[in-house]
Amino acid sequence: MFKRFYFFLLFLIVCAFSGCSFLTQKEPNSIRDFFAMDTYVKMILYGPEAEKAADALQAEMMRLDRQLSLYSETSDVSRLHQQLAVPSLPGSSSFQQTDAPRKELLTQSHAILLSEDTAELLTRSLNLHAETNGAFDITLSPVSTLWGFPHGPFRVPDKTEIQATLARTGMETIRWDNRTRQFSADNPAITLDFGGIAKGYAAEKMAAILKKHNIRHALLNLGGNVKAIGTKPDRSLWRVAIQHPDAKTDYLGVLSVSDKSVVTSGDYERYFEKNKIRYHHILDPRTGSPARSGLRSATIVCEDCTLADGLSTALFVLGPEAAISFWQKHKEQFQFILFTENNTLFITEKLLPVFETKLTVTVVR
Amino acid sequence: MKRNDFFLLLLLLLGTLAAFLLRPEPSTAKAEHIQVTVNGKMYGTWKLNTPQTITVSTPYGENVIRIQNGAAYVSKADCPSRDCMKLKPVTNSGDTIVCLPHKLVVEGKSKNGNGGIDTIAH
Repeated sequence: MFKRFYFFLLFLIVCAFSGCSFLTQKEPNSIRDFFAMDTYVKMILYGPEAEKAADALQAEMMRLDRQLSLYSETSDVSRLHQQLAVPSLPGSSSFQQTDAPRKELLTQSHAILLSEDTAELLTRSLNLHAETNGAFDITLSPVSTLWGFPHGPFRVPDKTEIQATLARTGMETIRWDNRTRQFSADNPAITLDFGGIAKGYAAEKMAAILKKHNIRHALLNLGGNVKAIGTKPDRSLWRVAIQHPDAKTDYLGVLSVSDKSVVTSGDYERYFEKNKIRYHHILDPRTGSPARSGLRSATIVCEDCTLADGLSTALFVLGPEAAISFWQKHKEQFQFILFTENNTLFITEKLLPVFETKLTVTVVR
Repeated sequence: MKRNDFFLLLLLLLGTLAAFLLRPEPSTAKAEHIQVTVNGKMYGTWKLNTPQTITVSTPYGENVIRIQNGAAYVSKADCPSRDCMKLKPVTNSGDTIVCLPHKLVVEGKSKNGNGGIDTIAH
């Protein structure tokens, strides 16, 4: 009796130590990496159709890139900007006036038909904008450019410049009919930049393609945005490390997930420093300057990668207190991990059992 | 309570205690070497235990990778944003530094895999 008991205990201990990794782990059928949508994509796929699926996923990313890129003149988004710039009342003398601000001179743009993807992204963006009280904003690219983001060279613009450029932003000027996919804007100087949501959307489109190819175990990483499909083939969970904002420290921790999206936004990748002040790329739509909300990174965990992508930016802008109260109203939709400037690590209750960390955590309920 | 019930209870308690005490800490595997690719094509591999400087010439521009103290980082890049110079140095297996304009990827590798980490969200 005792002998058997000790053997069992020994087995438990071995199991706990090894994490049961002695169960055989198959090699992926396809590991593919490439560059698209101004990002580095890496995919791990399991299943007989993995190579074919990887081809399809890569093609889909390239297609979305062509549609949504701000830097290609033929993209749907660039076409939209070009059309917006064409006045709806050509030859109207009001355009020649000089003193009043440009915003008041231009009349509402004519209606423009958007492609299916742009339409979906716009609808999602408008919803997120409304839900987050404006923290999520896709019209900020003129202000980003002013700072030099994303490609540099960087500079700190003065307040007058920022204010003047902010006049070319604002989602409230968008007129959008989702049924007819007709877009127009009260302010034709507006530009759309889906950079804060497009990678998440792409991940969802890719997940749909994987389903068609009957791939049930896959891990997609689109420039740090993670989409986990199913579990690993041995039914163990995917282990997703969360980057620590300080380069000298390993990770904030490791999440174990299946069928989840994990997206982090932070101040530590796209930034520049001047006079020892760090200026990062996530701008606060209210100020036109890098968000100083008290957060260093915001990680969102939920099923829908589009939501995770958009919310990680929005919650980063909102800051810890507003982010927590936002979550309390949307508990069922997502979970989060927030890391503050004072090194506090906030984590929602449901993530606690699946998050391993050496750091002290503050649980949000 | 029968004797066996008592043992079963004890076993469950001990098992729970063992599972709690032996909770796996986030394990990371130190990288032994770095693998450098340019636009998906292998450029070369270098050991992390030898301090050295590697100049990578890509069709898109040039990066200089510095290896010291078991870590690799980009010390120079001729692109305007120089984002790759700000990224966390590669020390663990699975760590990556990406220079987007030069399509350059520096990835930490180890014989022992990635220390149980499948990917990194950043």
